[in-house]
Amino acid sequence: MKKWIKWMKPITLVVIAICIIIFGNVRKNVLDEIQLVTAVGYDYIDEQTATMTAVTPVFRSDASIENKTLSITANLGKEALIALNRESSANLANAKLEVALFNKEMAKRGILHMIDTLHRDPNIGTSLSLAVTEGVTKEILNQSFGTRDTGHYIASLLEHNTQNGSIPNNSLHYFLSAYYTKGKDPFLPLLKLTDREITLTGLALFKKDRMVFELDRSHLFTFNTLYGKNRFPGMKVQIGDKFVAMRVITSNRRISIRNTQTTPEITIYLNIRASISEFSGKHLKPQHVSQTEHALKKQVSQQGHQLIRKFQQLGIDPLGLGDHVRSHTRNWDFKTWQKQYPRVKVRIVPRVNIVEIGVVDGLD
Amino acid sequence: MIIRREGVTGIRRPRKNKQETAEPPSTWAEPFWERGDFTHTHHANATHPYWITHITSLVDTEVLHRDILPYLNKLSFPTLQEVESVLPIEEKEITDDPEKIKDLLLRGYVWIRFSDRVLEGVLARAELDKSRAVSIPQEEFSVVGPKESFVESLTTNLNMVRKRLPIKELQLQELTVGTYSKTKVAVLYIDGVANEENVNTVLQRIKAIKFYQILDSSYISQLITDNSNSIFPQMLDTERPERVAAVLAEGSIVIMVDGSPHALIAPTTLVEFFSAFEDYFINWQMASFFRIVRLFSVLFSILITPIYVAVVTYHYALIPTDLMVTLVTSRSIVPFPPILEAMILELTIELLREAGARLPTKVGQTIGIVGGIVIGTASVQAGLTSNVLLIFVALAALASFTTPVYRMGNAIRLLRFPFLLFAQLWGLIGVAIAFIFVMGHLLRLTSLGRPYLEPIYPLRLKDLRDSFIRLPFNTQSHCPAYLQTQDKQRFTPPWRQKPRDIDE
Repeated sequence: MKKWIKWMKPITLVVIAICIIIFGNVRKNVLDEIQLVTAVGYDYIDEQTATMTAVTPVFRSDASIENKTLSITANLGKEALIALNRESSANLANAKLEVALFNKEMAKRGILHMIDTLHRDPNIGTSLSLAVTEGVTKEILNQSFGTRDTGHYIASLLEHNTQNGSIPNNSLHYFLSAYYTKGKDPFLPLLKLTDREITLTGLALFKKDRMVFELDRSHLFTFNTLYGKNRFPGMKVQIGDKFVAMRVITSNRRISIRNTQTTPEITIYLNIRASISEFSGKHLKPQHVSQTEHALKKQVSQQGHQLIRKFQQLGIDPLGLGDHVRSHTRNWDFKTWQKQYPRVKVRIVPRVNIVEIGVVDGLD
Repeated sequence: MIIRREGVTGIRRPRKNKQETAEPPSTWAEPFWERGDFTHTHHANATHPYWITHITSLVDTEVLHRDILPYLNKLSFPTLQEVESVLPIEEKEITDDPEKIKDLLLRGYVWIRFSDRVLEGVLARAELDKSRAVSIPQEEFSVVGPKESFVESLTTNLNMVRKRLPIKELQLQELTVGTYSKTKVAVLYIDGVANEENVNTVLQRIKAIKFYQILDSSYISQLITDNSNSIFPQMLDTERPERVAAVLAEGSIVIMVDGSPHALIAPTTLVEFFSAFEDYFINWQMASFFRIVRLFSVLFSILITPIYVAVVTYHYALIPTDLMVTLVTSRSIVPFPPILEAMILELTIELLREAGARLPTKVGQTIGIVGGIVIGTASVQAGLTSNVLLIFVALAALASFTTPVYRMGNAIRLLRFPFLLFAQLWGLIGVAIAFIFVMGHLLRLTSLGRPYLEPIYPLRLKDLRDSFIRLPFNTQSHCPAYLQTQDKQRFTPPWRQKPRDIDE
């Protein structure tokens, strides 16, 4: 009896260890036995069905990547990704999803249920890039861009354009934040496939989850400046018959609000600092600089008023003016604001400062 | 027949036999005659004839011929007392206790009698104490600083320590351990600094050892350690005399064993194992940097392969996109699951290390080259392992060598395998679980009853200045708190000293 008790402890430990090893196994996702999905695209077919395209990179032994696309036309169920598994040789894994594209038709009819699928999945982070495309996403995703993985290519295209300030910050996180914030509406970058290359053509502005307006590239600078603190890679203005190109434009905004209870009056003060990088004339004289400042001021002011009028007509608020007013108003009511918004007076006061003109006056 | 067995085997099995004392003296010595190195000679030519009995292999013949025989030959009407007083040897005595005589003979004493009929005689020490010359440290090598290391002789080792601590407070307690080996064990501490409780614990534990043979200090370390089931060494062993002197001054207790070139330091903490003694020879900024590097390399060494296995098996989402291509292409040709691949490589490295350690230096180098270059490259080309993992395993092996104490390096080698197993089972959660187990174990571990994880837990902010980083000497005015020393202050810190300005 005593001997038996002495062996109890080790035996129990061994039994527990065996149990853990045999029954404790959890589902494995071995790296080389799964197929990573790096990009998905949704194309509208009709109210109930959509085509879903997934791009999976196939890694070759010489470290080059071949993109393989799988697509399925199905009822817009939440498990579309699982349905795609029927086409793939290995289990599809979505934790490396980098970009989700929606075609314009889809975006115009609402993308919330797809966003919901993406948001609900714990494997997918909110740093996922979203974009609206002109044309069918399947075509874009079928295109190979060099030896790189398509999903990563599109994501880095959007990322670097966000970083250098061409478009404001955007990702699933920003989309959801704008979507759920009262007094703010989301926007997504707009992509287009031209000549086998993807280009950023502007922004798609949303009302709730439906795309209602397309912001052209020519208005991006104004929109960015109005949106908030920003740096812009470069732009061009015309003074007389000459052109001035500017780079590293930094700007910040300050909003002042009056009359919040009756008809709010919003003044947006903009402070833009730029440096001249190119001048088409012979000599850059001081008056050219002041002319440039003036031209830029005028452009921002004009385009800004135009844009805001348009937003007010459409009843969208991508600049988040409502949210700003909310943060400065006691007992702010969203419904009242919605009624007030189309009639809100918005004044834009830009201040432009050319801080640098380069190392030469001009070349003869 | 019976007598013979008594004598010959008596050396190996020293059990007390009552019958022995009753035997007449002549027959008592007889059994030794059977031994080749036992001499029993009658010097009849001397003025006064005498008998000399000793074991030649234990006695330094030079001492015998220079310091004993000339003096004995000169004596005319000697008594034993006169013999004792005339011999220029410090350790000598007159006795007729057969047990004692036998014991002393076996320790290299020479037994001088005037008649072989009586037991009473003078026993004079002429022990042969030959050891290898003091050489440079092999295990704890350092680029700068002293290059002396302990040897196999306790006397030499003690000399090296005493030389560095010429103070009367340095206490030495000598004990004999091992029923067969009768090994001399010395316990050193500085009176007035070392905690008495610690000293008593060490002495008590050593006295309580019931073991037949003590061949090295590691025997003692295993026998008196707090938790003998732990893979973490709870006593620091060092072969550097200056390290011993340093820790003695801090208030630690040092155990030295005859025949062992390693001294044991206790109590100690986990952090001590990652500080090389060289850290005290270089600038404190550099020393701190190297200590941090060592600590990171230990963590790296333990965790990198388990994390690889966990990530590749479960958490592919953690891999950066740019690294994905490299990882997938290197993995795609490997036919094994990540755990098997990792196991194969880890075991290969262990094989190489073991083979390198067992073989003579010159062959060992060849093994290293064969293993590192040929097997590594070939196994990747054959598609048995991925080259990314090969890099990780090689780096982990390299990182584990940065541990200054070899025993701790061994513990780290072993620790990787349970981590690997858990990584395979539950991914990073498994690694975390394994880490919790190790942490729990370390928290419970003690060294001479003092917490092993100090100064992290219990948190002793004062001790942190000589643990992960080493602050300059003028901040190290106090003994480490975990040693609970009697005299806490080693010197007056500069800011407490009286300014020695001329202006004053």
